[in-house]
Amino acid sequence: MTAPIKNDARELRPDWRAVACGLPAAMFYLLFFFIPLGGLVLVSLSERPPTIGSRTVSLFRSGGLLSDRLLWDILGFTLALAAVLTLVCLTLGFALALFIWSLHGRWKVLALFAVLIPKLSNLLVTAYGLKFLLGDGGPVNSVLTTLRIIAEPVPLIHNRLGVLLAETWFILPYSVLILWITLERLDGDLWAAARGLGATPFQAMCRVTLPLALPGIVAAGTVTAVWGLGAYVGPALFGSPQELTLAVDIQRQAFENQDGPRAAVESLLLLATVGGLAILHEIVQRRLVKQTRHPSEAA
Amino acid sequence: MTHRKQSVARLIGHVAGWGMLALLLIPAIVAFWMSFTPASFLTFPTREWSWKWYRLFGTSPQWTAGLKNSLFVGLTTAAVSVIVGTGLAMLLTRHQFPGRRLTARLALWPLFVPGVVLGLAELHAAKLYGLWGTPFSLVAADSLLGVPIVFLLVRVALEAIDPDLVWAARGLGAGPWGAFRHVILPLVAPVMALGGLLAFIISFQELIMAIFLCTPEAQTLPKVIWPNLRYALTPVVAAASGVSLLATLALIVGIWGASQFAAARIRFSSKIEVGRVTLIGSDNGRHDGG
Repeated sequence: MTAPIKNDARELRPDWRAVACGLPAAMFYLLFFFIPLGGLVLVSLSERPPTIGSRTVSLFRSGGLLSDRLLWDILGFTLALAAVLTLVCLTLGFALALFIWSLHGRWKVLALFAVLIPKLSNLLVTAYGLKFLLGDGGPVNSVLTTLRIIAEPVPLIHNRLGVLLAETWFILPYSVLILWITLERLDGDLWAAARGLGATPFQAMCRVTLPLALPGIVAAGTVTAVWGLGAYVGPALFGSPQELTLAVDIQRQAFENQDGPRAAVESLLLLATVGGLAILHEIVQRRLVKQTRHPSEAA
Repeated sequence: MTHRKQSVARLIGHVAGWGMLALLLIPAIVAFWMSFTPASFLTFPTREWSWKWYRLFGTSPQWTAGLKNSLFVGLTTAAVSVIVGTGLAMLLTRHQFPGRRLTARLALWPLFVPGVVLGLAELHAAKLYGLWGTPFSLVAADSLLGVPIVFLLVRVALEAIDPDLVWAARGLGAGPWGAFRHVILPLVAPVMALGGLLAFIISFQELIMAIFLCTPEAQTLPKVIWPNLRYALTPVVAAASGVSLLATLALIVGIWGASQFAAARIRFSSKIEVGRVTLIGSDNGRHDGG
């Protein structure tokens, strides 16, 4: 028995092994990703009944929805929340990633476990603990009043602050992990070289580490923003009806108002926002790659 | 002077760093701790501890059914993700075809689509395919996140394999299937297991798609927890959280143990092989010498 020798004629023929590898994936993505998303477009154009099979297609309905003031208010709040969350998670995340990066041995493992455990357990475990801790008569408020930092309990949930706090707890681990991996991949000697040449830790950070970590920071920012745009649990549990994100409203329209087309229009709006962000991310990353590839030209 | 200043800065950094890590963990710890309270309102158990809420969880058909459904959906999602994701990774690393890079990018798209959008899309699709109301609608939806993750991990593992190993196996007479079965599979199996574990964890705690796809007859654990979290914070939710945490940890330990066992077995069998080869080699040597 000898192994068959590959030649060009063989390569050109459709390879049954490639088909066997790829067919399950092709079927899966087609049936459960592309067709459902395409169906969403159909539903967004339909009048009634709000299912894929409906024949009546009206552009006017979705056109009317897009001139709805409330929808743009919701989109505005969603974008603002995502922007603030990205800023908060990048700042705190970079500080925490630097800290974990500076640790050694089992301390580093312990710190990484502290970041990972809440993500490996149920998200709702963290939500439950937070709801108890931040509640009006909860421990955070009683500690703050006992220490006389605040005179009377401050409402920490059912408002914007509550949404921001909860979503920070949910999203921060992702940004910490991405930024930590970025820092670990950097050449540690560069930092030592900068210090050896007389830079203070702060200078070495600003002039060496930060520029080199920029692609990772952009990636972490994009991931945080995508999670922030799709925020559901935070606004639904820790917000009031004023803190309406697109995600919360999509669920509300689909189930409480039974307005399938509207939910689909809002979904496509959310999807378009995320798509815009992805394109922006791509442009920024390409520019960064170009800069690092030709340092002489960039200078 | 500056040395002292630096060590003070270090101390502040450490306190802030560990403090932040503790803050990330505290809500989960508090939830777990409160599941042992004997009171039916929210207080920390200080003097008395009780299994009351775990008993209630274990005897309530709604909660136990939720756990069973979650386990079924999670394990099926892990299996689907490993099969489909590994196949895709094999296709993209070992075969050349036009549009290969585009396919690799498209495969990751589901990870970037917000959960509610996927949930709504899957709801309409599940109704169209007649899957609505069955756990398989949820398996399909959760696999949208599991497949790309398995694909990413296995692709990295496959790219790290020395292609000469495969050619060596083929040269020694192994067919394509034999080379896969005896060379590639043992090398990527641990990564496939890790991907499957991640797919299970994602599915096991997935809430948003469950909100869209679960019917009242078949609900997963997060879907059972959700209304209780929204409207009444009973400690049975904390107990449910504790159970799901323990289930995940048990699975992690189980997979870790299995991988250790498999690694030990591979080491053991390769030692035997190596021993046999050296034996034969030295035997030949003696013959040559004599």
